Amino acid sequence: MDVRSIREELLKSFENVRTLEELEALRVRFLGKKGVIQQGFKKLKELPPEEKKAMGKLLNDLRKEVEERLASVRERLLEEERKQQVERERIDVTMPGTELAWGSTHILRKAKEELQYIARKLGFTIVDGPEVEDDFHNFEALNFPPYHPSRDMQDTLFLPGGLLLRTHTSAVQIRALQRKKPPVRIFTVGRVYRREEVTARKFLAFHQAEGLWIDKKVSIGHLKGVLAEFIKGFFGPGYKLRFRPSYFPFVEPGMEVDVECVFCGGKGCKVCQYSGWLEILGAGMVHPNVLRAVGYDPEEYTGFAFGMGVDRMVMLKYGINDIRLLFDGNQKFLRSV
Amino acid sequence: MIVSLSMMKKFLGDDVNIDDIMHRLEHHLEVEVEETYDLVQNFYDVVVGRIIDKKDKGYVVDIGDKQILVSSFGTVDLPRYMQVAVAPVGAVIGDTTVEKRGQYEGIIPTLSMLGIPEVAMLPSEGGVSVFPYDVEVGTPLEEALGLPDKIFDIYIAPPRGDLGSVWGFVRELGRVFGVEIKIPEFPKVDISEGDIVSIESLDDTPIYAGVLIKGVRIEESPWELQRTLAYLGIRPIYNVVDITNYYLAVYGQPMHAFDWDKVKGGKVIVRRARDGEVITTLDGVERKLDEDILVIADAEKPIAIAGVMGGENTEVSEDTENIFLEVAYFTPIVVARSSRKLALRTDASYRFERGIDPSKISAYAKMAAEDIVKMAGGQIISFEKVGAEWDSKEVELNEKKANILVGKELDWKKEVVDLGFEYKDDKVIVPSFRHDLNITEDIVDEVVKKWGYEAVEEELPTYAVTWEPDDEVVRVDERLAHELAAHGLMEVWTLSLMDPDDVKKARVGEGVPLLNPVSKLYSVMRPHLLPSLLIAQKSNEAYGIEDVFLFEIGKIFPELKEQRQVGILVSGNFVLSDWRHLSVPADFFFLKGILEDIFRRWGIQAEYRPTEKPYLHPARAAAIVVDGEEVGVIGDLHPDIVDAFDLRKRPVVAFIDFELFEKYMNRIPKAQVPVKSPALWRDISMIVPKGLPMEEIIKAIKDSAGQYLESIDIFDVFEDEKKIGKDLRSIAVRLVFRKPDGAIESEEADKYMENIYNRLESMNITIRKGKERR
Ligand SMILES: [Zn+2]
Repeated sequence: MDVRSIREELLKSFENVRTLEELEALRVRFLGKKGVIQQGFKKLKELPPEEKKAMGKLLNDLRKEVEERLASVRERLLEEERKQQVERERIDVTMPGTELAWGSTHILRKAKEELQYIARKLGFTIVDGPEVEDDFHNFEALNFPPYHPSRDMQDTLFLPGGLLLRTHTSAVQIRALQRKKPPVRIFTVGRVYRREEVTARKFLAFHQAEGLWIDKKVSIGHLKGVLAEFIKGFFGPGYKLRFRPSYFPFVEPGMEVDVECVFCGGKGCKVCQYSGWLEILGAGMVHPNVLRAVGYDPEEYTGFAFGMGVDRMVMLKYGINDIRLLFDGNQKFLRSV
Repeated sequence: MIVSLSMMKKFLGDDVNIDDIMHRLEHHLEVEVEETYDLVQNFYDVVVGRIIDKKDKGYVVDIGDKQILVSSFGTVDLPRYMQVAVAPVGAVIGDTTVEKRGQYEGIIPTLSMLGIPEVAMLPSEGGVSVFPYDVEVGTPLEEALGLPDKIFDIYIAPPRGDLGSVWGFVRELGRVFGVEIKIPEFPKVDISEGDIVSIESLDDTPIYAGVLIKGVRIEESPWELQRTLAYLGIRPIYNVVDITNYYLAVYGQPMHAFDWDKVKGGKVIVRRARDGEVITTLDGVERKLDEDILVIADAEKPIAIAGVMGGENTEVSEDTENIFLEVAYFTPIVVARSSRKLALRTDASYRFERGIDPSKISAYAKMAAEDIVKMAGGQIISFEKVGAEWDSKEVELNEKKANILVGKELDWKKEVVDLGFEYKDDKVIVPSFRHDLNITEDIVDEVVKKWGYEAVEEELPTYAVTWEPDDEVVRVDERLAHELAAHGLMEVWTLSLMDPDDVKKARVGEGVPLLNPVSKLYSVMRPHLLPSLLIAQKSNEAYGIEDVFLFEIGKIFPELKEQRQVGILVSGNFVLSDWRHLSVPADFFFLKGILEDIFRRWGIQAEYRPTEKPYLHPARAAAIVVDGEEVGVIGDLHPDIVDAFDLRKRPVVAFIDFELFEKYMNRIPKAQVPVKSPALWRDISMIVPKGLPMEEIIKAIKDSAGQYLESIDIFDVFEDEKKIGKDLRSIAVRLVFRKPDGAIESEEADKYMENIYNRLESMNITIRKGKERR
């Protein structure tokens, strides 16, 4: 048997293999039970002993070589086939993705949660209160005496039965103070109502956030310090605060708080009407009459309160020019913010 | 408050830098400059002229050196002899030079052409400024108008009544900014004569001065007074009223003049009204009075509402000869109450309820009476005063409290003296016009305002770290909103005030009406979220968005019982856009699937019972029942309502009581830990009577399937009269069995299946032949 010629034939056959099936046929032909190499081994015993050994080695080497060849060609063929498969499965990745009606929470809720998150980190507890209120919680306990001109500051929507729609979240203060004991640190975000003609800037309803801290020896300095921390939480560090005297019946001293315009860094821009400041907060030291109304001793406790318009902050932040959009259900708008 | 620079300058030196002060104002006082109007000369060679005659469509006017024919820009026909501003040929107005036009040699410009803002209440006719005869013909207009000048519109916080006049305002500028001011000469009046006045309600009327002046002539005021009032935002009327208005605006002292000859019995009585008394006020409105309201009365009847408005019955008119001038201090509360009870606000009530100066009643009475005599003639017959004025009051200062508020120990005596007040034995002596200063905190406020808040150092408080739970409703609301959003729904926060028609159209009862709505569109409190969500859908459709997936956790107010409701509305296709034609129609079962998953996460076991609601499709609606109670509904919107709201797509809606979630907030669902042992499944294909609810079939299977049934999946339902038969439907389900501790044997499953088949067949269900069939 001419092993050398078999080897040559074999190597040549491998070069022409195109598919795994052809490769399998080759394997059977050379390595199968009836294959060339097995046949060779069978014929070994017919050889004289001196040739037997040499031939045996040749056949073994050949089998090893064939096995190696088979493996490498298989690998090549598999690789090619995967390549073809991949090519068949090619897509245009620039086609758009499937657009589902993905949901989201409301922009005002996002703002509410952000404010609550900051408040919680500063040690405030989140409280809630009703929107339909009585005169005591919305006015009288907050040091708006009956018939007092301070009541004109907030045009009120009235309901039957001596009820009204709360004009500020400060009403929640009273309810919370009534059921808690000092020290009290509370924060609330909620909807309030005013009797307003509807325009792009003013609406019958809007949302306020309000914080209250009552403890022994709370000072104006504390109010300034905590507010600065709060603003740091909302806008980031580095913005100056400015306090101006103002009047709210439930605080004394009372002040308005401006934040250095976060859009222009105080240089002046359209958003801040070129003043360099955003007027966003009202604050003050809780009026002793308020403490008295809820049964706290103003000789023992002092406190501060601060509040802000949530809608206004959201409108500033996202460049929304009409407050009514916040109350509309337009999905295009809602998905954009 | 409207103040003019020219008026302020009567109390300030000419060299005061008012712009600088206005700039610093709001950092030290609770006021805000809302608007500044510059009155500047934007014209040349415009003069005051007198209309001599009318010719064609123009006017012949005398402008001093000649008479010319001019046309008018006024909107009304001007009478002969009226004095107006005239711009002859060659005069300049703004950027325009007046030229000869046809026969006209000039024009009569309007106030707005001359750049005079509306806030200046100059006397005018049809937009044209008119002048009394004490302005000489030919006077340059800038001189007549006193240009340049400035008008400030200033917001003053309610307790600072003391700032509500030119004098009061300037007085405070002097104190706070150290500006030098010229204090007017206030006459001392100690005499009191006459027996006209009698005060029955002394508590309401601490001080009352009355001056009887006889022989006055009611006529137009001199130009200077008219112009002064105009720049204070007050329209001039006639001399006596103009003088009282002048004292109101300049000194903050309201006054009222009665026609003495109409006051019956020669008596002026200050008393509470009697229930049922009636008065017609100067605005022509008849008002019913009660005992809370303070009135001025003559011997017979009320003739004015004290501090608010006079009565028609004693109104001063052109024929009036004798007047009774009232200058009083009514308490803030009595005027505020009268004014609010009658819903009548006036400049006078505004002053009284904020508190006027109790130290100068008779001084102002004397000054005004003398001005009246000077301007309108006549003679002061009597000057009567009841009650005594007071200059100052004491405010107790609790230094310990004050130190806490400012965060350090201060020399309060020094601070108080710096404010311009006196300090005696823990008491601060403040002027009586400072109605806003009453307690320690007010004095602290006053001190800190003077410093400016930047002077107070920031400080961070320390507190004990204790844990206190948030109100649970807040956490429930948050969690629910996030879960609904995660299920593909978009949250909306709609308005809780509605048009009652929308509530009615949505068939959800009636909303509680507001007592004082701004408009019908927002006049009732919604009793349900449905109308809000339908309006939101409609707004989307109007915008071209027809696939709408919304939810709201909102307040509703059925019969004023405020509560939260969860509302969901879906319509159209959940796949908004896909080029491979994917489609997930938002139908009843789509929304039910969302609810089922949410309930699963909260550990809520809900059942669905066919139901009828006025707003839901009668055959496609279910009540959601939990723990035997109806907690919500789900269903297609009633076709009538689809039409009523003119919707393009019929939505499916669900409403669930928020309370349900509060109840389940703290129930922790049991985790389903995946079991590794192999499952075994069996399919059942059956023909079922159409009226048999699926729920009962599933219950039957569960009851008879033994303990290892893991799940039932309905994978096919169809109806076909020809193939299956009338009133029948074909249902195929797959049952999965699994044992927690090892493989379940086929024979065992077969045993359970046998039970199931028997049970189903007992319910009139036919099990179809199939490979699972025995
Ligand atoms: Zn800016």
